[in-house]
Amino acid sequence: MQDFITQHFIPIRIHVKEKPQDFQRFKAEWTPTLILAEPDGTERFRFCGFLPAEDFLAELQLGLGKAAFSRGQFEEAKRDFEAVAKDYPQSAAAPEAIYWAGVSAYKQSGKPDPLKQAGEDLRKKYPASEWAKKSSVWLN
Amino acid sequence: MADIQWIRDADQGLQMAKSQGKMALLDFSAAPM
Repeated sequence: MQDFITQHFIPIRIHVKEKPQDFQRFKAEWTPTLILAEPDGTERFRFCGFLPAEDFLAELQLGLGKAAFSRGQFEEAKRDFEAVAKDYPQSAAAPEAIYWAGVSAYKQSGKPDPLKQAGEDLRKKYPASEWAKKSSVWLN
Repeated sequence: MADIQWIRDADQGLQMAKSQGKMALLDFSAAPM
């Protein structure tokens, strides 16, 4: 975990007793809250609450994908989302990652096939997930 | 997480993120220090 974090991020810890004003500044309302932000402070992704290591790493990778997606870097986003689905298939982030991998591929190619493929994957692998429901419209 | 060298100042951390071309990971914590 340490390697992944230091490879991709500058880690900043804001403690409620040291910097309560920063909780207001970044609208952190509960602990732990993790925020992935651009160097200018633009928030790209956040999650809240304790997670075991594998799920924590899955959320960070998902967040990297969301950040790349927001920048319009759809190839990089797709790689990050696919890594979540491949490396952390048991995590709650996995079905969301499959959904956004499909969207990233669609954004990149302009072709709807990746959306249908993502929908089929989600229906097969994570049928009870909200992401299977959200992608069900792509199967029609 | 225990071995990570956390920056304890948001603006300093964001400045480092800019200079190193990385994203910032902000951990809002109430864990015992």
